[in-house]
Parts: sequence; structure tokens; C-alpha cells
Amino acid sequence: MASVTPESSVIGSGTQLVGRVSGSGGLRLEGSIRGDVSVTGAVEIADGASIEGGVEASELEIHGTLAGDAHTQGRITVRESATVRGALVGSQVTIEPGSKVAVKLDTEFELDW
Amino acid sequence: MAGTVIGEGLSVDGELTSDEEIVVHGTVRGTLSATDVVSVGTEGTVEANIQAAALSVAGRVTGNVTATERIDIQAGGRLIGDVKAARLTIADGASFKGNVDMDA
Amino acid sequence: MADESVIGATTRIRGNVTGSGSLRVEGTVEGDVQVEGDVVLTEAGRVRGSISGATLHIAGQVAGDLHATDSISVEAGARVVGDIIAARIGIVEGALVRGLVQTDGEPSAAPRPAAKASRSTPAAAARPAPVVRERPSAAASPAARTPVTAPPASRRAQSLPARTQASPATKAEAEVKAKPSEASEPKAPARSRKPPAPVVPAVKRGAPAKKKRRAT
Repeated sequence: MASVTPESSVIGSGTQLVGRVSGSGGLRLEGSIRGDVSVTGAVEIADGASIEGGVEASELEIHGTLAGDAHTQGRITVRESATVRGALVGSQVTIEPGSKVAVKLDTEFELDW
Repeated sequence: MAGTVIGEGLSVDGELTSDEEIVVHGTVRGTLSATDVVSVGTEGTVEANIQAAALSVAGRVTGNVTATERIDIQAGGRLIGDVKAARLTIADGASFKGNVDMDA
Repeated sequence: MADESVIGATTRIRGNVTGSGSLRVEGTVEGDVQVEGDVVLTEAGRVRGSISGATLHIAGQVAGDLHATDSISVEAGARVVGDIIAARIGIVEGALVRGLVQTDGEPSAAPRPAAKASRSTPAAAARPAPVVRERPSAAASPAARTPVTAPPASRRAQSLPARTQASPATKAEAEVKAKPSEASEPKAPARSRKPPAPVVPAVKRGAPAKKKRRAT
């Protein structure tokens, strides 16, 4: 995911933000954010990166750390290297073994019996 | 290549600190503290005091700027605020309003 | 005694299922499942109650908590409403889960989803049936082998309250439950170790266990 057009953003590993990120486009985070992220595109938290705050995005992929709730229209993927704490709400939540999670999943569905 | 790129549709509100290059095509509001080069693209807007090694403005910057090396305001760029840098260029077609301190 | 037991596809059990060895559930269990080995819940399998074992492979539907000492994998097509607690947890694409998912051991004090209500059902259903019951139709099915179903009462009474509510008495049981060595003692020593007091707060769930004790 190295290609970067002006429509999508990268917050590099040497960058920290205390505050809020919002707007359109996708975001690849390699640094750290203490605050909420609310974007229309996909968010990827790279290995070593962290968000301490809520995330709203179309999709979310977590290789690093998320301490906060996440709401996506699409899927949320927690990768093996991830550490996640919070509520995860998406159309589909995938958790890879090896990840450290303490999450509440609130996926909408019914049991068929 | 820049380490951090704030894309066109993105807004960052808060304190941004970095030890790598930053390119702003979107909006940054608050404070921006970098030890490397900060570039504001033609669509970029920064409403913050900026600290950087160098600043290049092709978009809009409103805030006081301190650069350890240089500040360049490109044609079409606009900077409103006080600047402090060893070197400063204001291109033909650029816009600037503020005080200048080049006392290194 | 077979190492792996199977609850066949046409088998329906109302009551708890416990034992050593592994278990494959292709049918329906309305009660808690607690084994020392692995549990496989096939796509057609349904459990209304908690499931605990060494490793769980869930491809069916569960209204209850999942606990494993090793790992839990929730496969495509599975639906789980309940908490999932193990050191290693995998939830693949196509699996649907609603509840807490925790790899760090102790259940947190966070609010639980509505699935909690379903846990009272196995106890209620189990009350009139002190012994696990098998539907007549199941006998005809070649896969109608039922698992080990005569656990000591104390172990069951222990398991039922241990993971459901955070009532004070259950904390001791939860600790006890967490140790694998505990699970391998289904006999009298476990019973004597467990004081009668913890059963009292969970009277509803303790009731079938009491009956069981008298029966044995």
C-alpha cells in the first residue's frame, strides 16, 4: 500500500497527532494518533502504529494498536500482530489468531433457530 | 519521499509533531512542529503556527512560522503570519503579509 | 470408552454435556457443553448454552459463551451470540459474532450482550431432565452415539455459574475453572473441594446438579 495519491493520506512513523482527523479519502497510519479518526475511505493501522480514540471509516485494517471503538460500513480486519481494545462494529469482523483482543462485537444478525 | 502526506480531502485538527517530511494537500489546524521539511501543496491549507527545518508554501498558510533553514513562498502561495528563518524567498506571484525576522 | 464422542445430526439433547475426551456436535444441545478435549461444532450443529474445552472449532450456531484453554476458531458460516474467551482466537471471514471477544483471560466487567438471557434456558430445560435425554429418532441414525453424559454434580454446578455472571461466589469457581488440572478431576476430590455455598447464589442452575448428586 505504498502508492500515495493526494486523495489518500499517510501519517508516517515519525509523526504523532494529538487531535482529530476527518474528511474524505483513505488513511494509512504508521505513526500515532491520540484522538478520533473519521474518514470516508479505508483506514489502515500499520504494525507499530497506534490510534487511541475512535475510528469511523468505510473499512478498517489493524496491524498495530487500536484503543477505542471502531465503526465501519464495511469490514474490520484484526491482523495477527494487532492489539485491539474497544467495540468493533462493521459488516464483517475478522480476527486473526495471534492477535490480542478485548473487544465487543456488535454485528447485526440473527440466529436461525 | 515524504513520510507524511495529508491528502486533499483530509483535515487534521490538533497538535502535529514529526521528525519526517510532511506534505499538506488537505487542511491542518492547530500546531505543526517538525524537524524536517514541511511543504504545503497548492490545495493545502495550514492554519497553525509552524515549526520546521524548512517550509515551502504553494497553498495557504495562516500562522507564525519558524524555520531553522529556509522559507519559500511559491507563486500562487500565500502566507499570513510572522516568519523567522535564515533564508526567505517570496516568488513573483506569491502573497505574503507579516513580519520577517532573518536574524540568525 | 471412545476418545471422541459424537452428537449426531438428528440428536437433540436437553441438558448439560460434560466429559473427558473430545466431542463433535452435529446435532443440537440445549445446555452447556464442557469437555477436556476438543469440541467441533459442525455447520448444522446448534448449542444453546456455553461450550468449553481445550480447542473449539465452531462452524455452527451458538447462543452462549465459548471458553477454551487453548484456542477457539469460529469458521465461515458460524454464528455466535455470546462471549469468546481463549488465548488464541480466530474469527474468519463469513463468521458472525456478537459478544465480547477476549484473548487476555479474565472476562472484563464490560456489559454483556443479550445472549445472557439464553443461558437460563438450559438450566430451565435441564430441570425436568436430570439425565441427558435422547430423542427416539436419533436412535435410528447411525451417528447417534451420545457422549459421556454422567458428570459429577459438583463439576457441573461449578461450570454453570463460573462464567456467566460476575457474582462474588463465582469468582472462586472461575479461578478454579481456569486451571487445567482442575478440569481433569471429575471425581470426588473436586466435589469435596467445592463448598456448598457457591451453589446457593445460582440456585436455578444448582437445582439440576443437586438432583444429579442424589441420583448418584
